[in-house]
Amino acid sequence: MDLNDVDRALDMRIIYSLTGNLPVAEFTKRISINLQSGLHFGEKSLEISFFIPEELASNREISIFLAQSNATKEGNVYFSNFGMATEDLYNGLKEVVDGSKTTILDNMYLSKGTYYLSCRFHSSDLYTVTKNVLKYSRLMEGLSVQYLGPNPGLNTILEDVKKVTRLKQIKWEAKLPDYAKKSFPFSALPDQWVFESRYMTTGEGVSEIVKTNEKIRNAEENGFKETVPGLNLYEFKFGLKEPFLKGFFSYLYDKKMIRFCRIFGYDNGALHISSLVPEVLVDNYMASMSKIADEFPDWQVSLTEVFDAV
Amino acid sequence: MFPEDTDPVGDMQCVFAVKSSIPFLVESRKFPFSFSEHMYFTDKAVGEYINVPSYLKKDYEYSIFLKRMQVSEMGDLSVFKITSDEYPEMEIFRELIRIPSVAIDYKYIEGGYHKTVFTFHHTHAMEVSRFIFNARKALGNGIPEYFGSNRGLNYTLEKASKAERLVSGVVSVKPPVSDSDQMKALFATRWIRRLRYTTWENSNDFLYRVDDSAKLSGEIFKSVSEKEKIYTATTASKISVFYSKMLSEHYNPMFYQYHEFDGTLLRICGIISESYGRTFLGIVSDTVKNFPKYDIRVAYLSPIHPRYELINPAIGK
Repeated sequence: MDLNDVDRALDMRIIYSLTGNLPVAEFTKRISINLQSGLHFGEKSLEISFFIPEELASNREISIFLAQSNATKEGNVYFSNFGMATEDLYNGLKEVVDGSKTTILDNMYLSKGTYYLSCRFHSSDLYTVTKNVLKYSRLMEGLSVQYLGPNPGLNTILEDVKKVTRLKQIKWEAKLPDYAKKSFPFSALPDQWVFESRYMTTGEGVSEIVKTNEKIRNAEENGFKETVPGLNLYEFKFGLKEPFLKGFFSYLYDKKMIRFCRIFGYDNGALHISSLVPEVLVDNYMASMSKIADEFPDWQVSLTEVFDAV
Repeated sequence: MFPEDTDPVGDMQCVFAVKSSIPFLVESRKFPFSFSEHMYFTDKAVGEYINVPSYLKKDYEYSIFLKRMQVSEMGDLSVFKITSDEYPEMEIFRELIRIPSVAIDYKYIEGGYHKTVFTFHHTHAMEVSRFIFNARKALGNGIPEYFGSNRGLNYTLEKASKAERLVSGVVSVKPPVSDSDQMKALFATRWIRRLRYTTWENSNDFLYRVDDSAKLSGEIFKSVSEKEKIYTATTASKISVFYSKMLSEHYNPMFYQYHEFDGTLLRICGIISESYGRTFLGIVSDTVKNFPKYDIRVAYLSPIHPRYELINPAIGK
């Protein structure tokens, strides 16, 4: 099982747009630029991070913005991080990503004063998603839908990202020690499954869509909510129950790591973890991996592949 | 003449990139080309020769930097040395070469980063990952730019030819019949081997793929993969002691060494910077004089490009 198993299982795509008095937006409208960004959900807070390519830094307004936002530079990209404080915005965006349990937030970017959020979801949730758009609009003035239709595939979705930053595909594995294989949640799951993190949040908060090769026995009792009957798609929070993944997710959240295609697979006792990471953030990603490898020496953490995603 | 398939042993490759902490090199990212560096290991230190194009002396920052470094001229190159005496964090690379199947292909500096290209056998992927984690702690940063199947010597040559003009050289040696048990065991079967890293001590670490593993005897060969007939061995001979001594006196002219033993003749193949060409011939000629019984000959010496485009306009003129 791999990325395609999850990607194709979610057959719809929706792109929301958001305008109004939002951080950073005004100045991107004035000077007409696009910025790749990432949304991080804390327990009650919301943070947004941006990439700014070096060649834009010669613009006076951008250089002032970089100085004011304490941006850090890595290679040829600046990286800055903001808190988005308003409660309405937090609640609204949380609804956007959590209103339907099959929704995955793939990408967010800011273009000329407008934020765009690109999500995938399953067609069985179509009614819920469209119904909720009206609800979100009441919470967030300026929310609209730019696209609703078939999922064109992650490769197409990621083309927008690749216009702004180079991406590294990082794949690694952890071989579970026997005690872990025998304990929950691994003991409750079949031999093969794959999951994708729905959005970026704290260690405990991460909600995943799990696709298994067979039906999970006693799913409901064990906390696996079947989201699409018959497709073996479940919602689950690994971070709540499983210390290795909870730790890794927490370290990523601490670093405000933006990453795409957040896939974990399980195959006969080994976890195969894969992410597309902006080049500028690979060092931070490695720091999180190194920390979890130190903390869990018996999980035999090992890189399997790193290459430029083209 | 240089064998097409020169990576028969390590099926995996990694490019490990670390931000430089050396003042001039931190600023070197403004130059649109790379510099080569040669790492060597001795019992006392880990050292490195860094090759910088001579015309950079005109660069203000480089000229300030040069004032406190001892620089030697080698053709088109200015060469300076750094060691773990000054940069103790370089010692972490000992951990890399302790992984039995690791062979360092090439080191270079690009965009302010030191990049180490090395190959290894897939059974050591976890040890290599562990090295990367530990090196990050020792060096303060470091990322695997690439980690995956071995892209072969062509990849390395493509990178290396962006830094300087290259020459491939082959020296043939006919080892005389020896009474030493170690030599008998070593030449009992045909093999190919990679020199794993450069050392100036009296023995060399090699990674072998042997033809007939049934003919192996004694303690000299340690297995990496019995199935693939891959072994490591540490060897020392009078000739290699002499050669190491010459290297330490004349920098290290050869950065990628591949040896082939066909049952009679040992062929030593390697890549040299063209600027080191004369030094290399000098070393061979001194070795011939000192070891007449070995029938040492330069079998081949030729520039490697124009297959690879040189992007540094100042070299190749």
